[in-house]
Amino acid sequence: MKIQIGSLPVYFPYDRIYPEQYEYMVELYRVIHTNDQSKSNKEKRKTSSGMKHGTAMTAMFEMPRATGHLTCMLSLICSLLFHERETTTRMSGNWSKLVFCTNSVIQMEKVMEECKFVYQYIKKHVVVANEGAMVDDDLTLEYPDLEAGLTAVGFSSKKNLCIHPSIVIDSPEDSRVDAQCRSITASWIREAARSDPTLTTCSYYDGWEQQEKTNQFKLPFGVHTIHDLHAMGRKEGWCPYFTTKKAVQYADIVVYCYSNLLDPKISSTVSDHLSKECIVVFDDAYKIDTVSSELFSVHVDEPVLRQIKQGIRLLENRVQRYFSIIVISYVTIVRTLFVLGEGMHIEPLFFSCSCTIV
Amino acid sequence: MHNSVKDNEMGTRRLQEEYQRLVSGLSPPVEPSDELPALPIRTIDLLPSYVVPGNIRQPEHFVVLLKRFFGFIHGYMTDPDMKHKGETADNFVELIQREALIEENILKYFTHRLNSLLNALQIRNTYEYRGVRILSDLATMLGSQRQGFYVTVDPYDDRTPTSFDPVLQLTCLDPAFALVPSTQKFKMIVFQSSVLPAMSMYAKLLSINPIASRSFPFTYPRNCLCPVVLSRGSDQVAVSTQRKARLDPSVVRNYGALLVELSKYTPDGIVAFFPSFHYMEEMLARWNDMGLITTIQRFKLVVAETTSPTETALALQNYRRACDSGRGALMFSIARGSVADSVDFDGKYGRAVVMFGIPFSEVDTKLMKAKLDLFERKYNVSAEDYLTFDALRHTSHCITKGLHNKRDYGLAILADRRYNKEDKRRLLPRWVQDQTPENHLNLSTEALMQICRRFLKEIAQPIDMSDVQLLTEQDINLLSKKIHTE
Repeated sequence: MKIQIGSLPVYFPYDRIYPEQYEYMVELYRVIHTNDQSKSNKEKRKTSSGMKHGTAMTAMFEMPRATGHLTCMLSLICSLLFHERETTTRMSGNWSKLVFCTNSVIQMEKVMEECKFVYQYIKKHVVVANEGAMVDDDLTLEYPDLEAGLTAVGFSSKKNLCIHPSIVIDSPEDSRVDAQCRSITASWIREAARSDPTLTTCSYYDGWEQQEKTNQFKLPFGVHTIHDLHAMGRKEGWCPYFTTKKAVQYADIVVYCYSNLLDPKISSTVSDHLSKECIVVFDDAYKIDTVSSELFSVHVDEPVLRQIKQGIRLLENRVQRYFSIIVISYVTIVRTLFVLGEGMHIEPLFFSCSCTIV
Repeated sequence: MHNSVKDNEMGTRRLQEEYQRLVSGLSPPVEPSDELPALPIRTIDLLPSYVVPGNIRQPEHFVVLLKRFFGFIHGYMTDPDMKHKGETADNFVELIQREALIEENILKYFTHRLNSLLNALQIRNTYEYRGVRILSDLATMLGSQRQGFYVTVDPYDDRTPTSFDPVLQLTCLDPAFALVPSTQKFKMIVFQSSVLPAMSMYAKLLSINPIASRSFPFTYPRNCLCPVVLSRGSDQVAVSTQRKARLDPSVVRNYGALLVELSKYTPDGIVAFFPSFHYMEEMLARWNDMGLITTIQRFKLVVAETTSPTETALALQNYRRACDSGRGALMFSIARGSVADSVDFDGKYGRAVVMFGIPFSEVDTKLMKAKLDLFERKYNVSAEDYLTFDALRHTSHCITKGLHNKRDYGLAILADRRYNKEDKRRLLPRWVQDQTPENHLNLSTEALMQICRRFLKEIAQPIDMSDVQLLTEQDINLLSKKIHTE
C-alpha cells in the first residue's frame, strides 16, 4: 500500500497494516522531521547533574515483539531516502543515510533479508509511478547509465566476508582469519610475489586494489547481503571485505554489528568517515549500556598470560636479530662524528641502551 | 646463509627507517592490507599527534618495557594472598609508576608503538602476538583515559574457591562513555527494542535527552502471551529465590511441582530460566534427589545449558529434535547466559517460558560496588533502582522469547512472589503488562495451572481473521484526513 505520512509518500509492502505499525511509522517520521527543522539551531543542553548532552536528536521506542517493526522502519526510511533522492540533488543538501546496528551477525542477516523485500516492493512502485518524469540534469551527470536506486550493504569481519579458498575458518575468533589474510595480502608479500611465484597471494585483493585505482567502482544499486557479496566477489574477482568496507562510506543503508560503530579498534577504520547526516538505529538495545561498557573492557586470565609471555619472547627474538646490527652501526656513526668534531645532538638515553653489543 | 644475512640487513634497514619516522612523528599512510587494529581509544580522546617519546623509540627498549609491564601485571594478579582486589584506574596507574617505574605518559603510546613495530618487522602471523596486543591495549587505555574505569583482580572463580584461577579486568563503569562520540556526531539516534522498560533510566545512564520515548501497544483480538505470577505452592508456602528462602525444602518442592505440572500439560517446548548456574545446579540436584526429574522425564526430555558452548549447542539440538518429533522437551537455562542472549524459541520451541525468581546480579563484588557508586554520584541513580531495573529487563527479555509473530503464543510464568509488587511489575514492557489482568497475579500452583490450561486450549483454536483489526489504505487515508482537519 501507499500511504501519506506528513509530506512523505510511504510504501508499505502489505495490503493491510496494524494500528501500532502505523503509529510507529508516524512517530518515527515525526522524530526525523523535527530534527530537520531544528537543524539550524543545534544547542548543547545540560541536565541537572551538569552533564553536557551531545547534539544528536535521540528517541527511544519500545515496540512489542511480533509486530514487524523492522518492516515498518525499513519501509519508512527507504521511502524517505527515495523521496530525498528524487526531489533534491546531492548539491542542495546532504542526503540522509541509515546506519542500522544489530547485536549479532544472525540479526544482521535477518535485517538484510527484510530490507531486500521492502526495497524490491518500493522499487517496483516508485519506478512505475515516476515513468515519464523529468530527470534532474545533475543526476544524469552523476549516474549516466544507472536509474535511480539505493545501495544497501551488510558489513562484517573478514571471517564472514572472505572468499579466498586457502583461508581456513576453524575458530570463532576474528583475529585468526585476520592473520591469515595478512599473510597473503601484506604489501611486502605482494612485492616479493612478483619475483617469487611460489608465494600465495590473494587475487581478490589484487582485483579490489585494481578497481580502487580507477576510483570509479561502486557497488550497483540494490540490497547486498553477505551471500550476495560472496557471489559478486567470486564472479568479478574482487575482495568482498575491502569492497564492502569502502561501500560503507557511500552506501545509503549500512547494516552491521554494534562494535563496528562503538568499538574504536574497529570503528576508526570502518565508521569514522560516516557523515553526520546519518540516522543511527540501535536495534534490540535493551542491554546497550552493558554492551557499550564491555567494548571498553580488557580481560586478562591465565591463557592470556601465557599468550603474552610467548608473544613477548617472539618479539624479543625478532628484535635482537636486527637490533645488534643497528647498535654497532649507530655507535660507529656517533664515534666518527665526534672524531670529526660535529656537535650533533644525540638523545642521551641512546648511550645507556647501546652497551649490549651482541 | 646468504639469504638470512640479506634478510637481517633488510630487517635492520626497516627498523632504522622506522626509527626515523618515530623521531619525526610522521608516518606514511599504511596500505589497507597492512592495517592493524587501531588504538582502543575514542577518536575524541586521541592525541593530536603520536610522537613517540624518546625512551621507547628503540625497539629493544620497547620490548624491555613490555616485559617490565607484563612482570608487574603478572605479579599483581598472582599474589599469594588470594584476595579479591579492586582499584580505580587512577590508583592503579600510580601503582604502575611506583612499582614498575613506567610513567603514565609512556603507557599511552604502547599500542601505537606495537603497531609500528609489527609492520617494521613485517610480521605476518599477528595471531601469535594477540597476547601482546591485549597487554598493549591495557597500557594504552590506562595511559589515556581513566575517568570511570576500574581495575579488579579475582583470584578464583566463586564456585571453586580453592582452585587458583586469577582474572584481571579493566572495566569501563560508565555506560555513556562508548556512546559519546556518536551522540556528539550524528544528527539522529534511535534506540529500539521490544523490551525497553523505565526509559528514563536508560536516558540517565546513557546521558541522553530523548525527544520521544514511546511504548507502542500490541493490538490483537486476543492475548498471545499469558503472563502469570506464582506466589505460593499447593502447601501455601510462599516461593521466592531470595537468599534466605531459596533452599528451603518447601520452596524447592513447590518449584519442582510447578515444573512437573507444566510438563504434563504444555505441548512441545518449555524453557526454564534461573538467576545463576550455581542455583540451577543446586536445584537440579535437589529435584533429582526428590525423584522429580524422573517424573518430568515421563513427559518431556530434559536438557540443560552448561558453561561449555559445545555442550549447550548439543542440548539445543536435542531440544529441537524432541519438539519436532513428539512430546517435546524442557530446557534449563540461565537468565543472563548466552542462550538467553542469542537463541530464539519461536513457535513450538517456546510454548512456555518460566522465570525462576528475579535475576539480580551479584552485589557483593568490588566491581559492582564501584559501578553502583558511580551511578549514584554521576547519574543520581540509586543502587536499588538500578539493580531492580537490570534484573527485570533480563526477566522481560527471557519471558518474551517465545513470541515471534502474531500467530505465535505462549505462557510466561514469573515464579516468585516478589513479582506481585507494583515496583517490579511496572518494569515489565507496557505491552506485557497490558496482557496481565489482575486475576493472573498472586497465584498458587493449582490456580496458575488452571489459567494456563484454559489459555492453551483456547489459543489453539482457529481465529476468525475478520476480528483482527487491520487497516487498509483507505482507512489510513481517512485517519490522516481526520488528523489534518482536527
